[in-house]
Amino acid sequence: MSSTSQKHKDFVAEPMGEKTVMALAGIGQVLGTRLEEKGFDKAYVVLGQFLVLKKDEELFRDWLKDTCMANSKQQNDCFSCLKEWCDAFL
Amino acid sequence: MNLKFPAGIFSSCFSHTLKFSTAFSSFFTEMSLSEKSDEEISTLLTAYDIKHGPIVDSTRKLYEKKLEKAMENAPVKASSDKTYYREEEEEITYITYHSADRHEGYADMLKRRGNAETDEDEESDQDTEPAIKMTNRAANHSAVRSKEAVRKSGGSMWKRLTTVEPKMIKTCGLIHFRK
Repeated sequence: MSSTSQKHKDFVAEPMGEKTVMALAGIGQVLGTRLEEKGFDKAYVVLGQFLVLKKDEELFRDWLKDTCMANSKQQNDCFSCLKEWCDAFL
Repeated sequence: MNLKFPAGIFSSCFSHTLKFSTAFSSFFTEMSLSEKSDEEISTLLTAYDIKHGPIVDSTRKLYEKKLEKAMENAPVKASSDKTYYREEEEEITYITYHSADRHEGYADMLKRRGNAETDEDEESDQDTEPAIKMTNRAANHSAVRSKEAVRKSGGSMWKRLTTVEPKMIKTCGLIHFRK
């Protein structure tokens, strides 16, 4: 937990509602745009992908890498962010 | 220790098993993964013990990649083969008892003990059949395992046999492994 960013804390603090994909930890402007181009324009759509992969870390990270070319740290941040959000709200 | 079994049976049966295995694996790799249906991918994933979610558009490519990796590491599904052999391992004890009628009850007991899960071997109900037939059948399934029994000096095999009934072992002329 020592390395979670403010973005992470903000995201997991409340239901994501209609937040954009760039609200996800690890997803900045560049990755966000790439995801939007692929149709993942809202955080909940990425959540959908996360869930359909059964919250599997390896698969989700692979998917992020393939979809928006996220690097290892970005994959990690996004995964932990979503995972924690699910633990709290799902 | 000399094995009285004709070596030929082992090699031919073993190669038969091998051919079966390779045929089995090639069945799965014949088509490229992308040509397979979602259900086939799902079946393959299960066959490789890969836990997976639904195979949908967004997940398919990921699972195909995973399958390719798994196939490279283990082209034949090794674990199922191992299970197969292990089941057969029980059956071999049955063979050695098989010569006389009075052994019948024993063979039954061994069979029941060893083959609770192998319904496919139910045909081996005829205890009074000649030794050779039974032997072959078991050998067909897993000659490798028979070899293993020999290599271990029938060690583990012997343990099993001796716990069952030492006297029977002495009287049964079929115990080739002893030599």
